Parts: sequence; C-alpha cells; structure tokens
Amino acid sequence: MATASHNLENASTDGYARQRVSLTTSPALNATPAGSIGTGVRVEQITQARDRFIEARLPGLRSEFGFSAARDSTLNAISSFDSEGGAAVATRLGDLFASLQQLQTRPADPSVRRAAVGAAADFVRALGTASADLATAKSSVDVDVRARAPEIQQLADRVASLNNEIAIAQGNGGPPNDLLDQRQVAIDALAEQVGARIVPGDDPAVTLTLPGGQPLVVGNRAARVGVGTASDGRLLLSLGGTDGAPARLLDQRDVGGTVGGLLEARDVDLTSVENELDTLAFDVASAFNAAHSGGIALDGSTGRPLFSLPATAQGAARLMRVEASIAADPNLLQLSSTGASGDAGTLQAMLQVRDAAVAGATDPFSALASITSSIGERSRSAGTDRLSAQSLLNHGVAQRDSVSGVSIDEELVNLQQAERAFQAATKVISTADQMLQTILDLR
Amino acid sequence: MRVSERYIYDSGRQRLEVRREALAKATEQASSGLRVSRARDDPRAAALLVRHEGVRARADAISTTAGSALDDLDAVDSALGEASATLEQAVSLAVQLSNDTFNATDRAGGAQSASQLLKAFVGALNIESDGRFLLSGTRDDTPPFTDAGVYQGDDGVRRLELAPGIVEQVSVRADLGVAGTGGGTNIPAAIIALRDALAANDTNAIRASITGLNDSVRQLSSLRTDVGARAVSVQSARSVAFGVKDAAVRAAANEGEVDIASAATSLAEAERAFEAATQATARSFRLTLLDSLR
Repeated sequence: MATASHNLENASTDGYARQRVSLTTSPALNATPAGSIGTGVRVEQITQARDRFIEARLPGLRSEFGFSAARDSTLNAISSFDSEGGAAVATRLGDLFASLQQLQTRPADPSVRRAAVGAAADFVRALGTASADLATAKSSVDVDVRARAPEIQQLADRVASLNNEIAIAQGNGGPPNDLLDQRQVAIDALAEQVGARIVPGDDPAVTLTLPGGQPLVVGNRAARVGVGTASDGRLLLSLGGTDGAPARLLDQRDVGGTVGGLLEARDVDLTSVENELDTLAFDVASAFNAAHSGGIALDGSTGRPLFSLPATAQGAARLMRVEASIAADPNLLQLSSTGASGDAGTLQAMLQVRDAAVAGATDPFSALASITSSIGERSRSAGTDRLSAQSLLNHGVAQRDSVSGVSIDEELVNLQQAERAFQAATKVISTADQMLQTILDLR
Repeated sequence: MRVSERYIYDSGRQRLEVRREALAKATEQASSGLRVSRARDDPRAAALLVRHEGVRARADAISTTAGSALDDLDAVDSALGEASATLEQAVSLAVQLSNDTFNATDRAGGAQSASQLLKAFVGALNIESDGRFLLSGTRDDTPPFTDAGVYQGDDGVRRLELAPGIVEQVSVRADLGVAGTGGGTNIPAAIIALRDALAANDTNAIRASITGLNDSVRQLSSLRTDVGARAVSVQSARSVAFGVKDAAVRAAANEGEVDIASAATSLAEAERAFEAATQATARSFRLTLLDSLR
C-alpha cells in the first residue's frame, strides 16, 4: 500500500519511475509429517519499472530536440528579411536607383539632388538595421550561453553527488530508487542542455561526456563548466578536466543540445548571412564609388566617393555611410562627366550598377533575393527540424512512460488488491482470536 | 501500449499545442491577407518578392522620368511652334517688302519689324522649365541664344533609360537644328540678313534672304518632327513601363498574398479542429477509475 501510495503521489513527478513491490513467500517452518507450514509473505525487493534500452535512447533525443529548438528560436527572431521588415532593404535600394533616375533629366536640381542623397542615406540605414538585427541575435546567444553555464555546472555537480550517494546506498543494500530517478532527471537535463552522453559501463556511477568526447562527470567528480572568449571574439563554453586540468574553450562542434544549437545558429547560420549582407553592401557601394569618383560636382570638384566604407567587406553593412561632405551638401554629387550643369554622363555609369554582377549574383536585387532565400531556408529548416525532433522526443517519452509511468487506474486497482489482501489477513487474525476466545470460554 | 497518467496529459497538451499553432497561423493569414509575411514561410516566394520589388521600382522610375521628359518635349515643341510662326511672319515680310512698290521708309519700318521678329524668335527658343534651359544642350544653366541670335549652348544631349538597360536621347540639338552647325542654315542669321537688307533698302538682298528664310522654315519643321518622334518613343516606353509595373505588382501579389476565400475556409477548419481537440482532450481527462470507486 505504501508503494502504491508513493506511486500515486508521484504520478506527475518528472522522471519518476513507478515502483513495484516484489513479494515472495516467507521461508517455511520446519517440516511436519503433513508438510511444511508456511509463514506468509515478505517483501523481497522494491524495484523500478524501467526499460534500459528506451532510457538509453532518451538523452540523444533530448539533445537533438534541445539543439534544433535553440537553433529554431534564434533564427525565428530575425525579422529584417521579412516582407514588412527586410523587404525594406530591397525597397530602399529600389528607391535609391529611382531617385538617381530622376536626376537624369535635371542633374543640377537641388531638390532632386537632396532626395537622391536622402535615398542613399535610407539605403545605408536599412542595411544597418538588417545588420543590427543579426548582431542582436548573435549577442542574445552570448547572453543565453553565459546564463546557462552555471545551470550546467549545477547539473553536473548534482550527477556527481548522486553517483556518490547511490554508491553508498547500494553498499548498504537495496536499490536507491528515488536517487536513481533524481540522477536520471539531471542526466536528461544535461543531455538537453549540452548533449551529454552516457558512457556505457557496469559501474553504478554514471560517466557522462560531451559529444566531442570531453568528460563531464566521472564518478563523483564533475568538470568545471564556464565561458570564455576565443581569439576571434566569440563567446564559447569552457571545460576544466574532472581531474582538475585547466579549462579550455570548447569548439562549437564539441557541444550538443541547446548550447550546441545556439552556437550553431550564431557561428554558422547568422555569421553566413551576415557575411553575405556585408559582401552585398561592400560590392554595391564599391561599384557606385568606382563610377562616382570620376564624375564632376557642380563646383567642379572630383575624386570623392559616394559611400564611405571599411577597408574590407567585413562589417560593411554596419559601417558604411554616405560620404560626409556629400551628405552635408548634395551639390557635391559628382554626376557630370564634362562639368556642364545639365550633363549626367557619370550618373548613367552609376545607374549601370543596377545591372552589375555583385556579391556572386547577376545584379544587386538578385543578390538580395539570394540572402532573403538563405535566411528563410535556414529558418524554415530549423523549424522543420525542431518539429521532427520534438515528435521523436515525444514518442520516446511516451515509450518510457508506457513502461515507467504511473497509471492512476492501475495503482487504484493495486490499492484495492492490497486492501482486500489486508482485509483477508485481518479476518484470519480475528478468526484465530475467536477460536482462542472459544477455548478460553470452555468451562 | 500501456497508458500512464503523464501520457494522457502530455499527449493532450501536445494535441492542443499543434491545433493552437495551426489556428494562430490561419488567423494571421486571414487577417493580414499575406501568405508570405516571413521569409521562412516560403523562402522561394520571399526571394521572388524581392526581385519583383526591384522590377516594380525600376518600371515606376522609368515611367516617372519618361513623364518628365515628355513634359520637356511638349514644351520644346510648343516653343518651336512659336518660333515657326515667327519665321513665317519673317518670310511674309521679306516677300512683301521685296516688291518694288515699297520705298525706303517702308523698308526701314520693315527692318524694325524684322528686329522684333528676331527678338521673338530668340525669346521662344530660350524656353525654360524648372530653371533649366531646354535647348542649350547640357549647358542648361545658360540661355541657348543671345539677343543677337548667337548660340551659346553645347552639343550635348539629355539621355534617359527608357527600358531596362536601354538609354536613349530625349532632347533635340538646337546647335544643329537652329544654329545650323555642320552645314545647316543658321536661322537667326537668316532673320538678321533680312533685317539688314531691309535697313539698307536693298531689294536684291531682300529677295536673296527669302531663300534662306524658306530653308529655315524647312529646317525648323524637321526639328519639330524630330521632337515629335522622340515624344512618341518616350510615350511608348512610358506605356510599356506602366504595364511592366502592373505585372510586377500582380506577380508579387500572386506570390505573397493569400486567396481570401481559401484563407477564410482554412480559418474555419482550424477553428473546428481546435474545438474538436479541446473536447477530446477534456473527455480523456474525465475518464478515470478514481471517480467510480467508492
């Protein structure tokens, strides 16, 4: 009854494996000519209903789910390439070319020049917003990883501590069921966080490693988990050895689970899109500058670029600006190739940028379409992966629960059975008591 | 499969989550009218929307600038019409005063009229639009002709993209068509020749000036024809650009927008599915031995 009661109370407890009482007949009294006299029942053992094969699969499923969910969540936050937000880059690029086109018939008109410079500034701002969106997502990953490191350390310490307690309890006899449940919960959480894997073995103490093979928990010792900054500025997880060896930074490929998914999103997906955007910005601005520099402004000056850029494409989307003197004075736009106020020879060369091969594509709009497709495809596949991993995990958990989960109906039946058995036993006692009373009442 | 308590609640929760997510998606599409609001909804379509935006913007810019060029060509045509009328008057004056019945006093008066005609001719051709002289070539901050009829513009022309990658001339050259550079007739000089002949009371010179003036009329007419042809070309390009823009807008709508009727149907289906899931889940929660035992 106590076991059934325990099961009922823990029906909704995470990681709880229902317990079963193994009953066996007590050893019989010395044999009589009529046969051995039984002495009733005793509890042989209280065991857990566990399927080791199913449970061995679950950490892997949790790791996959954690990985894909984290990647999906990070990429889903990017909005600057959506129809409302990041078609803004395409719209601003279209506006820039349109405003330059207006200058064809009136290249000296101050208001049209001002509009063109404004459109250039809007395009720069749109690129900056898209770049900032990507940067914000990357820095959010850093914040998340930094916050998870102490949680991961706590879980690793817990597994190590429970290894020790379980070893002691087993030494004192009997399986420490509740401790095993708690350790399994901690292992599952570590699997989801960092993709921790159980190293198969006969030792009751569980050994955990990361996907890269680095030991996380060995016996009653846990590795030191922290964060550090790589030489390229990326925040990474660090791991000190279980034997006290100094901490070293873990590569993104060494880590699975949620942290692995976050790092994959940051270092592979977002970095790739960021590079594509920077290349587009750099190539388009450089093409404009190449045409513009040879033109002549209204005051006869020449040699000025239209956009100021960093030396390389890295960070171009974030750092590019309309050249300061042109932003302040649109008359310095160098649109003429002869110096005449109505000449727009250089402007025609600038308009050809619209059909120029940039960023590996046939023209700027194709390049932008490619970037949009890239981030969309990555985000969509992350979502599909998450759903798939979630479905597999749900199925794995359902399988585990079918073996280890508590069924209230089943426990109520067990409770009823135990109650009946108890009632029957008490009947034996009352019958024996009545018989004894009858003997005592004999005169 | 053995059904545990957690399985009942977990599967109920999962069912509701899936139905709720589908309902939210259907609601968003029906209310926004957008099938592709995020790049992840349909990456291929999202990329196409970017391309369509580029095509639309370019076509829109072409149609706008073509309209502006048409306004300029209309203004030039009108100015050339005025100039032609003035030239016709000069021809009439020359023909009239070449007659021997007129005397020196009449011809002196004619010379003054010729001066006025020259002034009117130059005035018509020094036409401006938004501060730009339209017949000065690319030196549009300078009047094309002095009071004496000397051309002070250049031989540049304005060019405009009239179709993707196709740049065409949308202005005419007054240096050729009026000033006679390259072997043509210098029209202001022809009017000046008439004026001087009238002032000198030289009937032979007056008669000789008629030839120049007739050539001028033909040359100016040819220039007007050029203007007309370019206006037709620009108008045609503008019409095509309007069509391209409309096609791009339609194509973008086909890719990115949802059919309202099917969106409403999907929303209704999602609502029904969600309702069914909630009812099924509620029933599964109620079925337990706990309520039957006394």
